[in-house]
Amino acid sequence: MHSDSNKVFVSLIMFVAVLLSPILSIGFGAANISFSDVIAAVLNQFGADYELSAIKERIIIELRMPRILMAFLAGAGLSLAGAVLQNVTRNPLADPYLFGISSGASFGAVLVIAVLSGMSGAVFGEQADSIIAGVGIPLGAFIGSALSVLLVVSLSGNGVQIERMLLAGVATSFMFSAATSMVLYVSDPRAASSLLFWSLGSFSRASWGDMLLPIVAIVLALSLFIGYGRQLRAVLAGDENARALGVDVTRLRMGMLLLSSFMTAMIVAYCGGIGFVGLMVPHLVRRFVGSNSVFTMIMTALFGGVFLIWVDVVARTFLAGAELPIGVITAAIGSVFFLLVLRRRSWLDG
Amino acid sequence: MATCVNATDIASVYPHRIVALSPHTVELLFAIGAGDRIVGTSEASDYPQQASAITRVGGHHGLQLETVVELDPDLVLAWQGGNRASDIKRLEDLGLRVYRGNTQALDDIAFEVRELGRLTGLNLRAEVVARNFERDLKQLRDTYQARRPVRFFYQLWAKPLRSIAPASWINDVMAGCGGINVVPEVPVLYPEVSMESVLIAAPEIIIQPSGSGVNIPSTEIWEKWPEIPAVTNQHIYSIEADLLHRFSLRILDGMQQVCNKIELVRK
Repeated sequence: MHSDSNKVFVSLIMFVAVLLSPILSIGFGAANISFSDVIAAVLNQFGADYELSAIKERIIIELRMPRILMAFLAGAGLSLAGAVLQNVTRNPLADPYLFGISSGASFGAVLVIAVLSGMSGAVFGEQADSIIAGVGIPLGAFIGSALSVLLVVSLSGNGVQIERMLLAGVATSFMFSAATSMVLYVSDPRAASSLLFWSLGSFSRASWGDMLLPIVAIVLALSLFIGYGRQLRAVLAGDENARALGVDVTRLRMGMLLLSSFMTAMIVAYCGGIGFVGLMVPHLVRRFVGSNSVFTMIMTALFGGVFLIWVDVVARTFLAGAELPIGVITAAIGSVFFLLVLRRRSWLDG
Repeated sequence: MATCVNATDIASVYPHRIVALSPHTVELLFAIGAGDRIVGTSEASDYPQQASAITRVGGHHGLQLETVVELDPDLVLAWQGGNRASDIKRLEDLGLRVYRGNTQALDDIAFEVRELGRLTGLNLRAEVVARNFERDLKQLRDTYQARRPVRFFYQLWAKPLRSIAPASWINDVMAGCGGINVVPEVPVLYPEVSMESVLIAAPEIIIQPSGSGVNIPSTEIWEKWPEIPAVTNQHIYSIEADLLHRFSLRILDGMQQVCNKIELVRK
């Protein structure tokens, strides 16, 4: 069905998109920046001395570039997490949101932020505070997401029944959302509205220093997903089938869930909650290159990354002077996508 | 002293059990001498000090209607900008006498004071307070508004970076001191903005409202950006948020502080 020439064609398009998207998207934003400004700024980093106002150079290097890279990472990570979850549960609706992973991570992060903003500066001083926040928010997010995975798995019965697992995921998701709402409810109103902004997702705070954890998480997860490609394909054909091939299905599923939750948590910690990417992107990619292959996995990551780069362009240009939350845009696109999918059910089987 | 009415008579004519549903109404009632008639108020009412002792009937999440009814008020002062419309409606449906305050701008404050005077029978006192307020406000504007315009960034919150739109009423305070907002007209009153847009707008002064233990002002996020004139020239100032975010008489203190800071930039 999906021939090799098809693969070559898709990879070629994806290669061009991955290459061009960052370059083209960098020109969009509040400051008026041309393509030659970007080239000059980059070359200046390597010792060249092109004429460019210092402020433009810093905007390009320290604000736009990390922002675009962070958008790419978040898109790639969330899409991968969605693809793997859909694989190990054999359910096309699985994604970090449905499993409560995102809401667990959001709760952990929101709790840390709320506690920190309540005692900010007063206890440890400004410098220490930013370090605590730098470690505390990703850690809180991971603990929250891991907790939700453990909860979902422990609720899904003997041998992990997939239907129960999804229901447990929905319940866990609601539970953590309620807990987050509670934190927002008891916070100072100004803190609450800022937490709300945060929880809707944004790349505007991205800096080079923030990249390390998400990159490590995504590279680690992607290599493990590829390394376990054979086992993952076996699970896709059914648990019994996989066991017959010598795959420890329960352990594999648990490991993949935790890995996905780790990756999601690292993204949520820096970018806030961004829904629908993990659900939508794997579907689209499978539609064009088919499932069960390492190739699909890589294409999913790349397509997700490119997708969020352009969503972020919309976020920073739609309202002149203000930022639009990423989560609002992805949810808007995602829900329309869902309706289209429902109209053409065959897409779900793609 | 035949014309003198005693206290019981006043109480029988004018409300003496008032529930005031916003911090600024409480401040204004105290200012016109009706503070001792307040029997219930909202969570944030903490000024003057005596206000902290008044029974609480809810906060920004909504009202505890039962508590309001239990207090048996003869006047409820609601605020259309802050109290939920459905809560106000419900209180009216319960048969309570509700006055809907509609203070939305700096210039509404004197009107509100006079209205409170009319409602409480303290017209004369209220008129004096209102006139003093108008005079002081006019004086501030006359002194500063026409001076050299200074581009300001109002940092409502640091992470994420949030500010105020020119359409917001806090902007009136800043404009009265001759400040010009670097945030353009946007359809959101309190938008999230990118560091990039602040950088290119190059504000000459950054004002950080502070208070109640949250968002303790920090210059940390700005230190990296000496390209911003306000950063290079160290014109980053914090001002008590309650002085700037409430429709009380103290707004003039906040405004005076803002004007003083902006004046430092001009020098």
